[in-house]
Amino acid sequence: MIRVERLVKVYGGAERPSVDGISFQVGAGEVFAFLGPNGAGKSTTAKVLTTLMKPTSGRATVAGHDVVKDSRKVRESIGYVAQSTGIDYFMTGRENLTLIGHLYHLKGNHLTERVDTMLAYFGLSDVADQMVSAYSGGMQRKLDIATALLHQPKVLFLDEPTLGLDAQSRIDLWDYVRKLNTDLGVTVFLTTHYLDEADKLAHRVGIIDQGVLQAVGTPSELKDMLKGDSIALTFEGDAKARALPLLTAAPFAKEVLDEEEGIRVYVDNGGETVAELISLLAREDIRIQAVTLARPTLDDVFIKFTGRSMDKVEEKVRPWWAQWAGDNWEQAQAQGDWKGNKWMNADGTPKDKESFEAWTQSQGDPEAPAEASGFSGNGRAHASDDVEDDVSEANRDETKKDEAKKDAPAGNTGWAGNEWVNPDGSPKDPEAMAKWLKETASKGSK
Amino acid sequence: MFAADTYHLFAKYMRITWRMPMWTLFGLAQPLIWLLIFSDLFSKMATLQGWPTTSYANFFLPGVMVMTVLFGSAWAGVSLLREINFGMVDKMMVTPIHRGSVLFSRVLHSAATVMVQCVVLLVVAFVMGLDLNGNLLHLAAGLLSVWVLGIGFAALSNGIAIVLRREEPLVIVGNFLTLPLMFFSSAMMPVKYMPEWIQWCAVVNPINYAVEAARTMLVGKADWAVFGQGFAVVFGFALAAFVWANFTFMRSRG
Repeated sequence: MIRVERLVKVYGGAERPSVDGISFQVGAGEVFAFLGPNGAGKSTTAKVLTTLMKPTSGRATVAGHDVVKDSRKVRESIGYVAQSTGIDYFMTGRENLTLIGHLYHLKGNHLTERVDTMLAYFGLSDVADQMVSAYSGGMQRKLDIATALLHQPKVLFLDEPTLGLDAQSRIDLWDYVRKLNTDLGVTVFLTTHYLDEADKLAHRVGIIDQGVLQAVGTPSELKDMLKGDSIALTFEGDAKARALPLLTAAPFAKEVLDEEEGIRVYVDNGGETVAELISLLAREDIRIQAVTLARPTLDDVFIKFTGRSMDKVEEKVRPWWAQWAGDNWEQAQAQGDWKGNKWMNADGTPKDKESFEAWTQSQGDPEAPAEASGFSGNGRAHASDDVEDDVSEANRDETKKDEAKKDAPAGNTGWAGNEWVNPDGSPKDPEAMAKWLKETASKGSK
Repeated sequence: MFAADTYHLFAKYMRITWRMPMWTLFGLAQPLIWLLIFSDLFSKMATLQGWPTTSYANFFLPGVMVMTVLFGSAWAGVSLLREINFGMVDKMMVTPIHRGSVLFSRVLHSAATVMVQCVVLLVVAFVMGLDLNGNLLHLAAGLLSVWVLGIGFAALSNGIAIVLRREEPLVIVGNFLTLPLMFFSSAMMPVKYMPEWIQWCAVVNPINYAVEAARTMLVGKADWAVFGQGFAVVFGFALAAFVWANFTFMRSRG
């Protein structure tokens, strides 16, 4: 249904291709997921396949039509749901569907029927004549998918379909995707950066990173490329020592690890093997305290192929202001992280311990300075402008002094005396005091 | 299918516009306020020797229409950027519609909203007792030239929006363009009273031709030769602006 050969897409002005020679195929009736972090080239591939972009080189056919030469025929046979919902908020759900139906050149009764069918299918019949602006996020997403299915496409493209949805709406949407795949026989191509989404929804998964397709296979095939499932066993007493040689010799064990809390065995097919393993140990009268069977996750697969975890891949989307920030935008963005300042380290600890402690003590309350300084918590906002860094540091200096002054009376509950007066209110230099009092009194009487 | 696709998108934009009561309220009131204020403000100008019309309001009516076009269409590109960011444009582009209808429906809509304002202006001008041309064909021809200018200017705004890709600079460019374009035309003052260098600016200013074409058809004695020349320039401008905007749009799609 989808055939992609050595597809390359380089954006104008970009050094590195966003998609770098990808080849894969998707069969009819399949749910195929592109899994990868942000900026991996998933959406770009989807946009080339939906004719929204032209490939730089390579070839792609969808439903038997070339995406460049026969783009019109491709458009007629696909539905596309983008990351941002392209539905109109100032129109009702029915109006949105009808408009898109017109754009797909559906007419008359057939169009009305299709609109009603789609509204019913996605459970939107009751709200069909309400403005979309009154819809919940999940409802908008469903309406969005409905608009893409009006013309009964052969392939449905879903670009990050559950991005920004709450947990319940996500699960709800997964059910719909499964349902329309089985009910309507629609081939589904979806991109996602959620591991569980690819795992639970897709028949086959393509792992993509930095524009390169790293691996393709069913979720379990991909996981089987790893050491396999892990069975963790814990024992009582000396049972562990007796079990270890048995397990090491067992034919099903691919790898056996002697861990502090027990034994971990890697096997190919965990579900079946675990029974075999238990009976093997039972025959030797070795008692197992607990068994934990763990399937590897797609994140483990991602780590295997890219050397890093999906969660750790930093989001490097060009912000809108990058076009004015020139080549320094990345640097400017990096400034967004709190890196500490003249007095504080990045972790919030003071740089000069001694003077800090001295100052803290002079404040009376050890908690006061951190709060008084006021900027340790929102360093992101302050540090983001590196042009203004000097200025803002100066400002902070001011702020700090001011705050210190302001906080002094609050921090010091008792009057500590000053240059002239003792804490008990008596003057330090009684003679000078008496003289001053006399002078002011005589001035006042004049 | 260009016509049908354009019609459906155009109908959508019109529907959305009519659902914004603010637009109806202010959009209709604004040109009227201009007509009333400027006619009164500059009323003494009509006493200048050789002034072409009996009152300033008579002279200014085509000018205020063109002004409405400029101020109404200069920001047309803002909503295009919004539609691009919200994914609406992608949603249209994945359907098998004619590619040109995406922008064309937009500029038609901009021009149509301006047209509604112009028709209201015409009615008010009639009520105010201005020297309107009694021939409906002439009035229609005058409105046509304003309408085509609206299409051209909206196309220009859409094209600039695609080049700039952000709303803020688009607003700045719009501000930068509208006032000079208006003052360098005979919208508010006949060309013969202008300093020579502004007269030269007026010669290359398509707005000026739209004003002249509209004026000759709307007020006083209709001159088809003046209209023909003015309309040809405005039409050429609109065509060039749309072709450029659509080219820019298609190229930006990668």
